Order: sequence, then C-alpha cells, then structure tokens
Amino acid sequence: MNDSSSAYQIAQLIYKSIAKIITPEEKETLDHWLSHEDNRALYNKIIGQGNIQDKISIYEQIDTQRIYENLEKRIKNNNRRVKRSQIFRYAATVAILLGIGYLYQSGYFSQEPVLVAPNENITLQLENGTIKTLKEDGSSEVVDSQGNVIGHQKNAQITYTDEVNKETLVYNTLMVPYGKRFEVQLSDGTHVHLNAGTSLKYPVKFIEGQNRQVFLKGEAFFDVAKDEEHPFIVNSDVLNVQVLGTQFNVSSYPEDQETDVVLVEGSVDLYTNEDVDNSLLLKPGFKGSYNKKEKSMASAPVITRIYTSWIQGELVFRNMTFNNILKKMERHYNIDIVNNNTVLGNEKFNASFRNEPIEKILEYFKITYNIDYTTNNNKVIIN
Amino acid sequence: MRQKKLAKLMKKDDAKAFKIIFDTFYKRLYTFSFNYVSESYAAEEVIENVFFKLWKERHKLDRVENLKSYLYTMTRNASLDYIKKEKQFVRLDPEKHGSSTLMNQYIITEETHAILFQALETLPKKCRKVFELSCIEGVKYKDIAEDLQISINTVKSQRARAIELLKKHLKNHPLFQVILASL
Repeated sequence: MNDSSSAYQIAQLIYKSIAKIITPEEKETLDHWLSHEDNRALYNKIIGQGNIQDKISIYEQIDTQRIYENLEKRIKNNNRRVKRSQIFRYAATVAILLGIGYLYQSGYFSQEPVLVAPNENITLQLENGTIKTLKEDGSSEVVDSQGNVIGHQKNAQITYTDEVNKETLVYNTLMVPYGKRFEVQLSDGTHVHLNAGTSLKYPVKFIEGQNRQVFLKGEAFFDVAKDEEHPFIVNSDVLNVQVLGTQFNVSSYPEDQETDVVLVEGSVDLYTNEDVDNSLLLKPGFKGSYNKKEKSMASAPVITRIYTSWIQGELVFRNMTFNNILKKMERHYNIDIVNNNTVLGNEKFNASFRNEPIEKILEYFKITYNIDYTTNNNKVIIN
Repeated sequence: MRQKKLAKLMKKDDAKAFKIIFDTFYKRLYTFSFNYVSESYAAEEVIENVFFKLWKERHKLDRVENLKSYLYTMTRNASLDYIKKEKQFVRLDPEKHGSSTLMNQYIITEETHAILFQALETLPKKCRKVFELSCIEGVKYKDIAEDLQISINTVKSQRARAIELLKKHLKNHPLFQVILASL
C-alpha cells in the first residue's frame, strides 16, 4: 500500500467515525493509526472546533459552475488554436521558402517590434497653481507660499508634516500618470497609495474641528489614521466615502461605469452628493459599487486581496470583461490598446500577473486564449 | 462508475466524464492547493490550470493508475511551482512545503472533509441539521431540542435516521465509495 492510498483509507475511517458508522474492526485500525502522536494531532485538527463547519462554508461558497464555464472556454479556444496553427504551419513553410532571401536583404531580422511606453512625470500642483515635477529616484522639499517646508519627497513617496500651523485649508494636488504609482502620507498620518492615472487633491494640513476631506479621481488605497472627532471623507465625483479610521480601496476612474469601494478593515459609509441621507454602510470584506448611469448602489462580498493587489504592482483579473482588462493594462503600462474584436471585448476572463512586462501578458493571452495582436510603438492592436 | 473507467472515457474526449471528474474533485483540490498558496485566487488559478492540463493530457491517461492521486500530485506540484515563482508570497520554506508527509496530512484532511461534505449533501435538511449539531459540533440533545424547537425524542430519532441514511448511502453508491476509497 502506498502512502496516498493509505491516506484515502484513513480519511474514510475518520469520516466513518464522525458519522458513527464505523465497524469495530475499522475502529481498531483507526485507533492504531491514532496511537501516533502526530496522527492524533492531525485528527484533532481535522475534526477540531469549527474546522469542519468552516470547510463546509468554504465549499458552499465555491461556484463550480462559473469556474467550469471558464475552463470550457479555455479548452474550446485551445482546440481551435491547434487546428489553426496546423494550417499556419504549412503556410509558413511556403512563405519561408519564397521569402527568406528577400527578408534577409531588407533587414527584417534586425527589426523586433518592441513596445515603447512614453515616460511621463508625476506632478504636484502647489497651492499657488505652480506645477512641480517629482522624480521617482530623487528627493525634494514641498514648500508653501510663505516658504515653510510642509513636506518631504523621497523616491515614490511624499510625507507631509504636522508641524506647520494653518488657519485655512490649503490644497496640493498629486497627479500620477499612466504607468506609474505613488504614495503620500498626509499631515494626520493617513497613508494613501495612488494607482496609475490618478489624481488626489488634499489639504497640506487638516484643520482642527473640520472634517478631513480629500478629492480623488482614479484609484487609491487609503489607510486612514484614527481620529474619531474628525471624520475622513473621500469625495469622488458625486460619491462620498466617509470613515473614522480604516483601510479601503476606492476605484473611481471617470471613464468607468462604476465606482467601487472595497473595505479591508473597519467600516465606511457611502453616500452621494445628490442623496446625502441615503447611505450604504459597508462591512469588511465587502465591495460597495455606485453605478453612475443608474445612480444606484449595491454591495457584495469580495476577496479584498484582488482589489488591493495593484499596490504591489500586480494585475489581478477575476471574471472581468476583456475590455475592462485592457483598460487596466493601458493604465498600468501607459500604452494604447485598440480592440477590434467586439465579441471578445465582452467575454470574461481570469488571470493574474506580477510585475511582468506587457509583452509577456499579451503573449499569455495569445497562447492561452488564442488572441492575435500586433504592436507598433506604444500601441497594441487586437484583431 | 469507477475512476479508471472515467479516465478511459475522458481519453475518448468525453466531455461528460471530464465534467464528472471536475465536479467530484474541484472543491477538495482547491482547498488542498490553498494549504500551499494561501490565497484563494491563486488556488483558483492553480486548479484551473491543473484541469486544463488534465484535459490536454487525457490521451496519456492510461498510464495513470489512480486518477485521484494523479490530481493531488499535479496540484501539489503546480502549487509549489506557484509559490516558488512568486517568491514574495512564500510564507514557509518551499523545501518543507514539498515534503510528502505534509502532503499526506493535507490529503487526509481534505479527503475527510470532502467525503463528509458529499455525504451531508445527501441528507434531508432537518436530518442534516440535527446530525451536524450532534455529531460534528457535539451539542447536547437537550440544547439541540431547544435550538430547533423540537422534542428530545425527535432529536434522537433524526440523528438515528441520519446515521442510517449515511450507512445505506455507503452501501448503495459504489460511485461514492469508489471515489472515496483508494483503488
């Protein structure tokens, strides 16, 4: 008997003993196995307090139907690809025979199509309207109109000090272009991660007795410093997210149909400018979505990691339409993607990537889902 | 239907057989993989790839004696590959993670839970509730009776009925038994 087949038998015996349908001989076998200290510990873990119930609730949450459909799609595409690539192989052989001399002469082999993403700068707009460029590998000081140092920039982060006194609200605006990310620590200690294509307007110093309010366009993750007397409000277009101290992600790009707020910890309150009294209270692990067109709000449980993975530079797509995936890639890499395949655009996919060059991601879609593309400077065209 | 037969059917491109295998093993492989990768989306991805590979390699399946062991091994390897590749997410030593003792412990855990879950699914609702409270959570008859607002005698009879049904189920469902037991 090999290791794993005995593992299956042990599992069956444990099940039988839980279900009280174990025979005396089987009980003897199980007891013998349990006489080992390690086995006993494992047994206790398996049947331990709440473990079975936890597993049952995980099982009940898994949507095998959805996952199967995804897999089927992949399988179908894969089959198609095999057939097509066989035809291509013949075609390619002929082309090589005919064209190799010509290609060689025209210098084709030295030309690799490479994507070039334009390098744009992160900028900071100061209270008097001047725009300062921030170098991600440098450091600088942020100064107010009186010449006081109100913050320090080091690499991809600005930290505002709490030391300078202000009577009125004075704002700075950070603008992060496509292809970049940035961090800012506000004067109250609140930490904000800004995703690509995002701008955040905030007071350089919050004022005693007033709400802490900031203005967001794009996507940011907030780790708000606790201050029960001064609610923290993120305003994004018509939607407001009000909190006391907590961690949450807000995604509110103007071109997206929905504004999503995903709560990691604590609690937040969502309400719109148009309907201040009608708010939605989010619990941790939930996503609140505001639909701009329908002006409606809804919430649903989510895996929060998926929504915050961008902070580490990851791209995680779960059950996301191809068009949405492309939009996220455009922001992440600062490239233009033109999709000429409208059917494909509405199909949903799963994929995740960690700090991979865009070429690798495109290659992944090509191989896995049979998606053809061509590249030209900073443009990708999908056929 | 025995596993071997399923594997054979799948070899002949039988999508139905593939679906049965998927439905039977998806959840337990997912939680098994989760032990290694510690992220639900990662486990989801690993298992999708495992089944994708299973489909692509179905023609080679006659050399696979035991489909279940094959799936567990594939999942373990894919999960380890995943954490090796994504170094920043390794929480434990990959060497230790790769040990077969640990794998066996995970298998015993996931198999027990999977068998139990499948068995519970066959019970009538009320019967199942009483069984879960009594046999899994160890709640006293008296407290169950109070909780569910039924008499202690009903608790006892529902519990007995559940056990009787599970016994019968084991006897009458070779598919169930074969998939559970080793080959």
